[in-house]
Amino acid sequence: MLLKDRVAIVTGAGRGIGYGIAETFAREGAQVVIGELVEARGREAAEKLTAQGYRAQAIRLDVTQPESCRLLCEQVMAEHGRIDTLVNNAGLFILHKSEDMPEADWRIQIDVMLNGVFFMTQAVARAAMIPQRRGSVVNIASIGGMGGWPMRSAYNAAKAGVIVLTEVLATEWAQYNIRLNCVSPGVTRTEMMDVAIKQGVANVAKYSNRTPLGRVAEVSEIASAVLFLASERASYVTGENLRVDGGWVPWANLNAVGFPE
Amino acid sequence: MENRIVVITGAGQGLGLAFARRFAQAGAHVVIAELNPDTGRHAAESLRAEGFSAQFEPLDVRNPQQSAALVDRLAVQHGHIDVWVNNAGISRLAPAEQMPLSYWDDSIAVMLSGAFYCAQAVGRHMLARGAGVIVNIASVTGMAHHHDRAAYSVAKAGVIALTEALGIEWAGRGVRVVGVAPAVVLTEMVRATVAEGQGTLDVFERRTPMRRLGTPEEIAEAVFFLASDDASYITAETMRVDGGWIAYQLF
Repeated sequence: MLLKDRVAIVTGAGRGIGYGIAETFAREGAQVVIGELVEARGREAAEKLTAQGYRAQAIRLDVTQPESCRLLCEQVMAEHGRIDTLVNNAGLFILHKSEDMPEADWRIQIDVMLNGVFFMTQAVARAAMIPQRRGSVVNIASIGGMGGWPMRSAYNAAKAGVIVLTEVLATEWAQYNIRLNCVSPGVTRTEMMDVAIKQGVANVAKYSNRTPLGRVAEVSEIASAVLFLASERASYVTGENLRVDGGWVPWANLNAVGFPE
Repeated sequence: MENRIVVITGAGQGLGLAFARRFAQAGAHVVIAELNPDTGRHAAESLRAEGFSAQFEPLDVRNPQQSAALVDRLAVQHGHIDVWVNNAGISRLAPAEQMPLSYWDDSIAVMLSGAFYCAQAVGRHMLARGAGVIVNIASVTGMAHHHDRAAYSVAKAGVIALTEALGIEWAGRGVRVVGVAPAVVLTEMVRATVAEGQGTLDVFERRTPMRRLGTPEEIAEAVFFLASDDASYITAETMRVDGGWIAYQLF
């Protein structure tokens, strides 16, 4: 059990990749704290885990509010006395042609996926990891953070920001024995993808064809990479962005049809 | 990893031997493919003395006929090769304007061409079976350059691109190709570099956010993870295991 008795916070872990990470961590022996904006979703996720005999709890969390981040850390420290791992997973995407992108939709995506990552990481570092002189943070970035995907200006810019933010923090906090890394998933089969399919902006066949491996990722394949980076097995890995993308990014994709189609 | 056949080139010492030990600890049968018969044989014997399953096979990675013959031999002996780690490497340092051409040629031959010859030979076997993982040992030197290392860094940069090229080409056919890029690890090769006056250890330590060199075991953990089923969606990717070396870009 790679995370025996470790206390791990996973944001946005009510469903999708976040839930998969929470379940993987719980199975590896961690006390998992699910930080979720939607309280019912967080509670249901924690109950699904405790029903399997794992140790899990949910705390309402709005990563865009530094005070919410601070309060979650305060509660976790009061109950458990330590925070060993943080996974910044909370995210959303709202697609628009960039000339039509409303200000509010731009701002909320940057707020959750860039500002939120910073606020939550800062809170955990202050409350626990710096005083402990120990900690491991994994930020869920995206292959979108490495290039141009039409209609995803805010999402990709935020994810690109997370990648370099992770490098900055890694270099600053190595002195406190805190490691920070990113996982950049390729397209993964989740509820969020189902939303995009219903919105008519996603098509699993198109994603599969764009991936050299020929299929989208399963949540477990992302979670296993996050587990490795969070664990002591990655004790010399910091400031890294690990692509888990089935070969998407380095492929030249001569099948491209271009945008707009 | 239990009962899987894992071949590691240049595993007579240093990183390669650490990789062999990590795979052996997980129940794999490791093949020490090594140019130097003394270190190769000794490595296999000491692993077996620890209760692990290992064999020594002579291999000069510069010779494609040797790697092809080794693949055939192992396929007959074991029925399958599951993981191949291209680790064999040399360090031939000199100012670029004075570099003997043999330094350039040897570095490319061992670390770039050698990696390709081995990947092609074992790749054919793995593609036919629809299963297998190739792990290429690159280096952060292939990403951020230091003087006197033109041959070494270009070979390693080439290995990173090779991992991508083969990874995308063989994806969806059961074969993953991945890489690990260490920074400075305290091995025999690094000790020799320091002895040659090519840098001191405290220079490397100060350059590293984590303020220490990596251990061979820490590199081995990354190699093991990427070779395992836990990395089933990872291909055409090189993981840095560098204590923050590449991430740090200020003073």
